[in-house]
Amino acid sequence: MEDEKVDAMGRRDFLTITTATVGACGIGASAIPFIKAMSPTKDIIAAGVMDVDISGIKEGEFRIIMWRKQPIFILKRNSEMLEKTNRTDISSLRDPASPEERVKRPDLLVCIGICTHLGCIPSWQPEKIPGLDQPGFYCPCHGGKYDTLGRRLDGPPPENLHLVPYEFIDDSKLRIGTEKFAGYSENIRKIQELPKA
Amino acid sequence: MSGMREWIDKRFPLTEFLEKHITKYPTPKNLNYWWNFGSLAGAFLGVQIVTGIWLTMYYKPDTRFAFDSIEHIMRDVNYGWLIRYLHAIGPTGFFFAVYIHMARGLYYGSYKSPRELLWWIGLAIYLALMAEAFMGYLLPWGQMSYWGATVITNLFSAIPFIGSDFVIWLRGDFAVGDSTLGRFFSLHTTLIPIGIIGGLLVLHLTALHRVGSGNPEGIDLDKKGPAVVPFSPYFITKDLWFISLIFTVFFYFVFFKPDLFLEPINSEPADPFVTPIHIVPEWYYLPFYAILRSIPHKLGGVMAMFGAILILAFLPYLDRSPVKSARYRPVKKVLTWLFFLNFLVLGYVGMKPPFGIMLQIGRIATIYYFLYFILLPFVPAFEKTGNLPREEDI
Repeated sequence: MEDEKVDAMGRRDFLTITTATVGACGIGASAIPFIKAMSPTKDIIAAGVMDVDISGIKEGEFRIIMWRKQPIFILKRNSEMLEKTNRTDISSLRDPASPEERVKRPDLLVCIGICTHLGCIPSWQPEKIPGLDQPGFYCPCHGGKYDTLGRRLDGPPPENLHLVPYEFIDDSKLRIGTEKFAGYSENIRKIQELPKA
Repeated sequence: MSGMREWIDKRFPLTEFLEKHITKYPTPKNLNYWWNFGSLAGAFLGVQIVTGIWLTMYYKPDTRFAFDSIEHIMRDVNYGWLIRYLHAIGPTGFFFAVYIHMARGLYYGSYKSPRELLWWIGLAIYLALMAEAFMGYLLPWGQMSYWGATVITNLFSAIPFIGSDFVIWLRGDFAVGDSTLGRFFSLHTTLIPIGIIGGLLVLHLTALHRVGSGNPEGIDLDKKGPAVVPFSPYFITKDLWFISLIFTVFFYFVFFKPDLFLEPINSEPADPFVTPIHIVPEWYYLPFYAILRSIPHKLGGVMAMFGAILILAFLPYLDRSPVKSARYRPVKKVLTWLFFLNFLVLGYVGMKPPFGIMLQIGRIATIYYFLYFILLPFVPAFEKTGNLPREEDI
């Protein structure tokens, strides 16, 4: 008699626990589509890969293109710019990086044009950055200064301009971005740390 | 843990509420499965609200973008297709539950004293639900969306004197357009679901808990009716089980046969210059559509259609028998089953073009629909009922 009673209680608890567990799994599984539905949609992901025509770009020419709603700097560096940045003392930089770590091809800078201080778009100074002896980028908001490799030279910015994954399809086409790469927030400043496609 | 409970209970009637309405709430032991359809309707309401909130994140209520925004949801939004299909097929489940829930009320005399108010609140919910589904259907801005809205808003032009002006005011324009879409979107996502259906639902449950559930025998708890069990856990588990069963069928349609419930011509963007050959409302409106079309007079048809719903409100006074449940009312039982069958016939007629034999059948079915209510007051005069409440219990 007592055995029966103990058995009956055990059965009830077992059933309650298993039902509750399966129910919880069901609720969790049902929640997944709704959570995923709030992630970026497929057209936004697809827009992460963009081809840019660089066939006509001249020495010293600077362009801004929009990728994932973020400005991308494309600068065709001439020999003076190359020389100047090669001679810069890397250890003096706040965010040290050699030219090989900043660009795939020495004569083409591709980086994200968002100042690493508080997010303004730095302005291109083809002759001289105000207060310095070289061309580069000058951020009008708080005076941040970058060289033609996007490395921070002066002012409040903590880091070099961030990089975006890119490939040369041929001499005239540049493919910027990968599907999942978010852009500025990924905080990549060395070519070698960029994700593969 | 119990310390936290006490802290809350001092400041908020938590335990009191939970005990009174759930863990110690007396529910008749003899409820059959016809009593499951109320909670089932509630479950579908939950599905519609959650999927509706998510759709509103991506839907664009502008005639230039509405149609395409739904294609965006179907193709680009992760699981967008699932959320859309759940929301589009949900109303079928919702009305399925609501109609059977109402049929239970009709058969077991759930509208009789002291549940008249509960019945009227339920009818208000039903009307709000019809309006909600109607407005929601315009939002995809397909051919059927546009023309269905045009036809139904035109119904109001039957009102004498003010009809035409009222329709223009209702639409916000001389024809269904951007203004109409905007206001239908607003009411469909804000006022009606939360304010009306949500608010009315609270009133519905409050009225229910004041008098308690009816039961298949028709004898109430305070008159030596059936034994009771606490609502939790017995009816929570019974309700959850039945909801899971019906949802399995529901999900079969959502995942494997979604297009069964999507009107094909609604996959074409709305064209104000081309009226479809065959304008059909969604299935849950069909019986009333049949009634509308069986009266060959504009205002008469409209009055018959709305009257068919409003007459339900008079049931507590039309049905004069002291016996609640049709189980013990042989004449009412037959009449009521015929009424259900007649409702299905009306639904079928509503699907078909209104001429020839179909029109005749529709007219006969319309007559029987109203005849049911006209006959009810006279039935007790000659019906031999069982299970009258005993005099000492009244």
